[in-house]
Amino acid sequence: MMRALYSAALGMKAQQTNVDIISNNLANVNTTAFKKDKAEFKDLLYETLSRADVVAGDGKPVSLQIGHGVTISAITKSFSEGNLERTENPLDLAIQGEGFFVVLTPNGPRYTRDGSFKVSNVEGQIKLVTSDGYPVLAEGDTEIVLPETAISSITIDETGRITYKDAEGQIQDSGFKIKIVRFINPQGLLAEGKNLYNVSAASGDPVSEEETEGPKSRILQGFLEMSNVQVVDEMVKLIIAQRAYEINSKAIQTADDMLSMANNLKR
Amino acid sequence: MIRGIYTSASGMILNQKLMDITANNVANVSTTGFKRDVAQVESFRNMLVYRIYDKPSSPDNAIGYMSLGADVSRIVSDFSQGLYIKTDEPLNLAIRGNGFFAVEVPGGQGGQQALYTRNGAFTLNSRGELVTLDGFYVLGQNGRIVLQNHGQIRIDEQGNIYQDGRFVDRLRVVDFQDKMLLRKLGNNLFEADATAQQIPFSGKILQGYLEGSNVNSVQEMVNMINVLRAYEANQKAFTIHDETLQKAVSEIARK
Repeated sequence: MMRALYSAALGMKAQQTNVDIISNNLANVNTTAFKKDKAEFKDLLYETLSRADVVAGDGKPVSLQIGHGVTISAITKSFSEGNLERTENPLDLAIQGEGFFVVLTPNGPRYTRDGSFKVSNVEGQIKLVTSDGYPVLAEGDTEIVLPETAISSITIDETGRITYKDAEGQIQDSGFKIKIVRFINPQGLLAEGKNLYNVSAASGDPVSEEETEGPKSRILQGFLEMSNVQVVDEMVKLIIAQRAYEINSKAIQTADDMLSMANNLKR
Repeated sequence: MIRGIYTSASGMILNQKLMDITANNVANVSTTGFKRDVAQVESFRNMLVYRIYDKPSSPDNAIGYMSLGADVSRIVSDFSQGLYIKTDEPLNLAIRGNGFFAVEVPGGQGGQQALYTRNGAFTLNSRGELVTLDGFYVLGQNGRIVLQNHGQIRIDEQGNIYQDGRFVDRLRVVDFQDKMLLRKLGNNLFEADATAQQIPFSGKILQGYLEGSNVNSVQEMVNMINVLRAYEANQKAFTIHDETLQKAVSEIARK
């Protein structure tokens, strides 16, 4: 009886976490390059009341096992691409493919797919930075410093090479190429908020796309990657989670009713 | 009289166990690849009741049979198909038809043990190996499956894995003659008994789908109502036995 109470309580708890995850997805439906999360459930230990016993055709072929509920085993991120939105802003970049931009924060390099970049003027140096002011890194892990005239005429091609027009209208190569890295297991990345990810032992080290074989990501200038959250999907998941929560609470009620009957045996 | 008390009590204990099973099913209503448990109930062995004080071996001494309660005799998993949930993730796989993915789990004596699962939510680890979300290796025909750093992964209906058009390995999907010999271990894993006969996999693999739990909430609600009412009836029977006993003990003596 107590088992039933605990199993159903764990069911409610797991669904609560599920709803937390869904609401975070819904809250980030307009966050640039946000990647949706999904809860994965697994069943818990089984208690063996009596073991299976196969003795020459005689004996029990199956064991008597009662489970102990459920838990959330993982929260997986879906790195599927979000829709692209055309912004016409030359400093807005979207990545098509599996790559990430590298930005330098005070705590070290972090990775992001949010390409809504800006320029900042620090002590006369014009730098390409994120909305939070972190410098974007180019190949060779250098910050991208541009001449003042470049800002109005900046062009970034599909590979990330930055060119601009000088005062005479001549196209000049800035010498910078935006660094794009990829991870063997992006699901292992640690989301830090502010659209930034950090590496973990599970994600593997970042690999520069420049130095590896295989398909490369494409950079699109004048576009932003939207969140990959689909409101309809999340609403359906929300309804299912709510009903699952409800049936688990009904199980608790039933178990409680039974307990109260047991208590009424002795009058 | 006392016999009746024990019989009602065993009925209550039985229904408690049924409730435990239902609660576990209900808790796992969102668990990928979960198979609901069903209890089979068996009455205690019948016993022949004889009149006493008669000639012991005479056949017409028998009053009849009676059984003094019931208990759960088996808990079997219902392996019917769960619903398919489209996720569009390349490493989410569902099995259509019978069969299980084989995964490698650290075994007892430092060795490795093959276990089975219907949960096809897989991912890659930092070495590019295909693993479950708990980090257990998914097995192919040649052992662990190692995929490249990047590249399109395509898995066909037979379980052949291709990356950028290049054949990598074929998933080890196994089926069993008698699924009653599978034992649940938790973590969505099943263990096969040594005597379980493997048969070739005849179903299909669906990429970009997951198999949901096959728990049906309506069915479980009905189970719960049944269990509750049966429990209540047993409790009432118990109370009536008790009242009868009380009469016998406190009123008969008063005369």
